[in-house]
Amino acid sequence: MEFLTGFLTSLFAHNLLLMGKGVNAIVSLSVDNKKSHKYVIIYYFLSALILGFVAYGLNFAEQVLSEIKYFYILILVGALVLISILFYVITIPIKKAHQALKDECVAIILSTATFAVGLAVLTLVQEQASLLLILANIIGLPLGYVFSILVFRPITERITISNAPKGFKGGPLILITSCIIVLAFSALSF
Amino acid sequence: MKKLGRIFADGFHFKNPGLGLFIGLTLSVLATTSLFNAVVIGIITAIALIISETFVSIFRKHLDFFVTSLIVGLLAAATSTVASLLLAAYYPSIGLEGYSEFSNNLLTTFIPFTSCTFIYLCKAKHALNMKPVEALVDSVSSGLGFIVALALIGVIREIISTGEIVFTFSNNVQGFIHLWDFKLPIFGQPFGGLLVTALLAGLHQCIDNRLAENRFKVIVKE
Repeated sequence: MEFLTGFLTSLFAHNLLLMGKGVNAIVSLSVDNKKSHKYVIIYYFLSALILGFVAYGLNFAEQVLSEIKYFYILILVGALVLISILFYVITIPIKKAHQALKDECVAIILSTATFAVGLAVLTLVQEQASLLLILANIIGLPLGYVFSILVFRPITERITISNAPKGFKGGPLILITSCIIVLAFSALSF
Repeated sequence: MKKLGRIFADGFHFKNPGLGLFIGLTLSVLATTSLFNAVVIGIITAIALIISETFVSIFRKHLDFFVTSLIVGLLAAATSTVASLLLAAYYPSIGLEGYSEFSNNLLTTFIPFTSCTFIYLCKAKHALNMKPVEALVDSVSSGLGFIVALALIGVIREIISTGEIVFTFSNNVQGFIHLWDFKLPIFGQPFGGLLVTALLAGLHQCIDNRLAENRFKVIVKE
């Protein structure tokens, strides 16, 4: 039961995109081609798993060394850099023909590092959370993020065709639709 | 000199990171609940941007894009860590949680997010083809533009959501300007940030379109 409630709150109430974290993924990912999209989603789950456990370990370390809470950003970003090097090395034989795609993919990955740090901050804030709750967060937050990006894709496709005012074409209209969706979803978090 | 001026105008207005290019949206949605928060976050971001962009442009002959992205990520994280340590040491009312009654403004939770915006990567990618002086001018101008954009969003949100503007002068002194009693607290949440950012970005694009039309007319007359 604890797992289920944690999973549902992380999926809807603490949805990262709708809480305002990693928002520029809407504008960048909804324009990109579908190939890089696939790799990015795989990377989300990988980084969420590893960074969630790093944050859990930091939670333990904070009880021993209270000064560590100032350096956790550096530790987390260092872990992220290691993960992206691993990702780069693993995908070398797969994509030798797609050099440009690989660079673009790494750029998108590091740009949405906000997502990972948001997750880590969330798990750090929950004091003495159980392992079940953290597992629910690790599975639920990336799923919610991918889910909300998939919701946005058809909307942005329709917006590009629509007959909008000249100044609001492109980015501003996507932001306005996203703020209406945020208003709808915020009913779940009250 | 003329080229440097054009780079400055590009960074400050035409390619403003917050309102023109739509990067750094996390900060402009999350951290702009008040004018004070917005300005502090903007200054930290601008300093990190200047450091990372000039570093990349000095060593541009030895770097490729992948290594650049890793270096920029680590530099930004180091800058935000140093900023949080300095604020906790010399300005504990905003850097330390629970130090005084003003420290409930959530700045301590926003500072980690400055390490992970897309601004650094996007600008560092351009800095790979720039001389160090041009990169310095570009980073200073876009940092200034980002601070101005965040401050605009912050003022509008703070006035609508609370009806007053608050200034924190030192650890124990706080002043505020009371405007009216009308309040809409939902503008203090992510909804308000997205809406105000969208409206300001639309205004920015309208001004851009008008300027482009005028420039076109001048060229036709000549």
